Amino acid sequence: MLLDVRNVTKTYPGADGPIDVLAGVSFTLGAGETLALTGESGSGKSTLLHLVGGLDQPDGGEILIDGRDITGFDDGARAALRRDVVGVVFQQFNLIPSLNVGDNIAFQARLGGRPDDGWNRELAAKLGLEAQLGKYPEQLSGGQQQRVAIARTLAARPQIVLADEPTGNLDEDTAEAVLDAMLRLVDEAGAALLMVTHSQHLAARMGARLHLSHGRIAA
Amino acid sequence: MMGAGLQALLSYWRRNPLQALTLFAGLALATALWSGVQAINAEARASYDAAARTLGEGSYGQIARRDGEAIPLEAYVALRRAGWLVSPVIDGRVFVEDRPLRIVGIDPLTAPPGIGPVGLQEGDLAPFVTGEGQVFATPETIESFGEAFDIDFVPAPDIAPDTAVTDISVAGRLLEAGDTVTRLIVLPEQPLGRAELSEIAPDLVLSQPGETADVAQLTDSFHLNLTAFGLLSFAVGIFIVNGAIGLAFEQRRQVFRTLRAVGMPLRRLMVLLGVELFLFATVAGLTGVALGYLIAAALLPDVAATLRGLYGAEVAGTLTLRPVWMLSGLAIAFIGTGMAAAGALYKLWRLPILAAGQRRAWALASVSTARLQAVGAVVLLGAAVAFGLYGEGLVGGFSLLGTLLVGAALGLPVVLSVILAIGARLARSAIGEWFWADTRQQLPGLSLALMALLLAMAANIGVSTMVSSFRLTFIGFIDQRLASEVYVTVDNAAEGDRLEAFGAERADAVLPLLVADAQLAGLPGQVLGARDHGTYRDNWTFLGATDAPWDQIAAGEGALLNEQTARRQEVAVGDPLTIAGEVFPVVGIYSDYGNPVAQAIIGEDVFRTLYPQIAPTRFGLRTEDPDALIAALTDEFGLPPANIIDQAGIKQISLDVFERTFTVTTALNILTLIVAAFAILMSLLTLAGMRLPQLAPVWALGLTRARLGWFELVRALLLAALTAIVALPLGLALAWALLAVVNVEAFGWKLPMYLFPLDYLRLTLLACLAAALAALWPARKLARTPASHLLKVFSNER
Repeated sequence: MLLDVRNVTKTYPGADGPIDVLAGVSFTLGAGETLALTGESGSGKSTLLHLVGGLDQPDGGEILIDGRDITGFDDGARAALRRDVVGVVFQQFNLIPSLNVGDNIAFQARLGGRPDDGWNRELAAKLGLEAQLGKYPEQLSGGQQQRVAIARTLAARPQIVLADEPTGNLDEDTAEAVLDAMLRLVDEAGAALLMVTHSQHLAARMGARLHLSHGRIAA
Repeated sequence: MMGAGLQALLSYWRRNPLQALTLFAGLALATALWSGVQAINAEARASYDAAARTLGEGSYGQIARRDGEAIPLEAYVALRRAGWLVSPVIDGRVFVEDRPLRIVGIDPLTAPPGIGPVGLQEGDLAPFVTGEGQVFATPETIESFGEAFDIDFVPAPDIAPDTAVTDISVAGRLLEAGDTVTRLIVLPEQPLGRAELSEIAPDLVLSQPGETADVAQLTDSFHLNLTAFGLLSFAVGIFIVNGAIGLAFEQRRQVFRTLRAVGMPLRRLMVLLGVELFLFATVAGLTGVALGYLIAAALLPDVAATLRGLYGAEVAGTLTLRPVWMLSGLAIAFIGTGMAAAGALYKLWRLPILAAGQRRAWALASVSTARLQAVGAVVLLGAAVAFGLYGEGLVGGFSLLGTLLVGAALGLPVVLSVILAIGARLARSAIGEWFWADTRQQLPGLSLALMALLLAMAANIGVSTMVSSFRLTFIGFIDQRLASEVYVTVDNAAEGDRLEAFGAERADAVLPLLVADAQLAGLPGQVLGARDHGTYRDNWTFLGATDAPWDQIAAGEGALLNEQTARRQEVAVGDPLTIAGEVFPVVGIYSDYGNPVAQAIIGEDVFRTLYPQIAPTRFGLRTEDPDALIAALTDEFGLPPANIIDQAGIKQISLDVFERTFTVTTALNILTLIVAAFAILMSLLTLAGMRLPQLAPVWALGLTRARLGWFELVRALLLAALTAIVALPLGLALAWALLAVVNVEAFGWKLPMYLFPLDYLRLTLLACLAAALAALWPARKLARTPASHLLKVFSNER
């Protein structure tokens, strides 16, 4: 199994005492599979995504990626995990404003020592970004920026793509187009996709769905 | 509405105490350096005014002897009998433990109205002129010298520092003047038909008011220099304030929009911001004035020493709280705040009500600002070239300095941007590319601090090059001037004759130091008589001379003149120079650094003819064995050791005086550099808060926080180093302008320029160290930022 999340817990301090954001969550995800993570605001979806991406550490449980438990990783090892194994697509795109589109797309792959100009160009073409390569993020529309973020993630050929409300800031038509492109490319790349979404419609297009409520899996 | 609005605006500063501190500290430091300099200037000017007021210097015509000697009482009596309304003055110095006290004796019955201490003019004359008499002096002077004299000191705050004014008979007694006076004050109203001065006393000469050396006028250039430094420091401080205000306005755009959306008129919002700025300016201005007082109090003794050394001007060594500079300090705080805030207020005035506080608005706005800056830089640097080529006088010199510095500061971001773009193009790795591009993106936020660093470094390079060039020239100069191995002083002429005879046997040469006071080319000065000896011929170099100046001097057919007199009075080689009524052609012009008065040198024989009454009491002795000669002088000749000084000792004294002269400029230099380092620290700390959204994605893509922290440190070092590279040519241009233009106008001498690469390297390392230290805290903060804070960047988006 590519991703094996076992009984993960996470608590944040709150004004009225600790808040159990995740209270023992377990699930698995295989290579090439897609999984939607749904739930109300504050249910712990993004926190779970951050833990899987090595952006944060759980208080308890295990997260195994390719059989290795990443919860014991130090800062450097988790950074390497983000460079080499997972790729994250954020809601607000989070492109690097000082780099142009072409450099943004190539950035993560080059960071991981896997530059592939041909693959970058192919991704740009498939996402309709060929004409935008020399532009800077601030010169692009929201939909274009999110496509750049997806291209950047996929250019690094991650084993797992983590997407946190990737279409949350886009209008319906643009969201549909962006999701189409992402699903198609994830499929072509043979990567696993874990996507946080509020949208039942988008969740329905994924292979499986996991509903979080109050830090637990509800269905 | 006003209260609620002000609360909303001020709450920003409560939530951003660091920015509040930046604004406050920048303004306080700028005000402190400016008002400190103004305090020094005000104190000095008050001293000059006191001198002019109490002694009539520069206000009345004066009669003195052509040869600078004292005027016999008979000459005074003869003039009075011939109808001349003149008042005698005895003026001289007594030394108390090597500290000079100027004693001025006046005759209150004949002196023009207004001369003398205020207390004397208002009170009864009897105690002043009868019995032991009264001596007027400032309380500080009385405290310093009072115990050394058994006389009745009267405190008078309006007297010049280290000066005592008394009745002429008391002064005559204290100065052992005998039946002579130093000079005669000529009253403005004179009877018609009186005999000519040349008929009554041909050896006396009349100087009209204004012809005499006016200390305030002489020292104007020095104070202008000091003011320029104060202005530079102030500009560096205002750069900080401008940055802080600009950032605060940019970050509060949403607040402004909300305030206006809920019904606050734009005009009222502007008033509220004005009130906010007024509060800042008042608190920071008062703090700055207090700090300025401390700076001035610390520097004033050295400034007093400088003015005494360069111009012979007496300035009080202690500071008085004067309303003039306190008010000027506060005014400059308000003006500075207004200048720094003008751009931001104008932007707000033009801001459409619904214009949101865009995330990159600051950077975007800076694109057009950068263009404007580039155009400004080109215009100002062009003006600097024009001033360099065609500018004249001190105003031209300072215009050159001003346009050069401001133009270069405006051009810095453009130059750095180009260098960083080249760096990005040459980068091979993804991180390298990101680093260069990200550094370039930080430029708008850091450019003001970097401009401040550029100005501080350029001033440092410029001034240290000037001072070090001066020091090097000065050391060569005193090597040339102090060629004798041993210098001795004897008590009287007979002992002088005995020393000549002793030296003829025991030393290689005896060189008497013959000195007489004289008027030279219209300036008060000294004439030296030089013996014809290889010591002068071999060691002296000239700025301009005939083919064989020393031959002409030895033959009594010429005179040498010091550089400052030649420049001030526009005297060239070949021009005539009158000394004690005799006309000599100028056969050479020599450097005479640090000498406040005019000086000429003639041959020993002609000197003894013109001044038969002067016998030398100081001598230079040449020898190959100074220790043996010194031993012989004490053991065999019987001179007390205090009367003998070896060459090394006298050179050390000269160098000590020199070093003290430049203590003030060095101190101001260091203060400016500290202010610049502070600007960098504050900019980096302010930017650190805005950096998280830019750095979080890079962290999410696989860079550790520690590595990001390192990059922040390296970035600050890189920018400081690049700024240093730009500062070097700018500093050297500044040094050239100071040496070749400003110094000539201000002090009367031109100095050769030397380069000091090791000093520049040291300064660059110091600037990098300052930048690294400034970046250390923000970098460490970033390296230790909890992951949860970085994650908030992504969470906050919803």
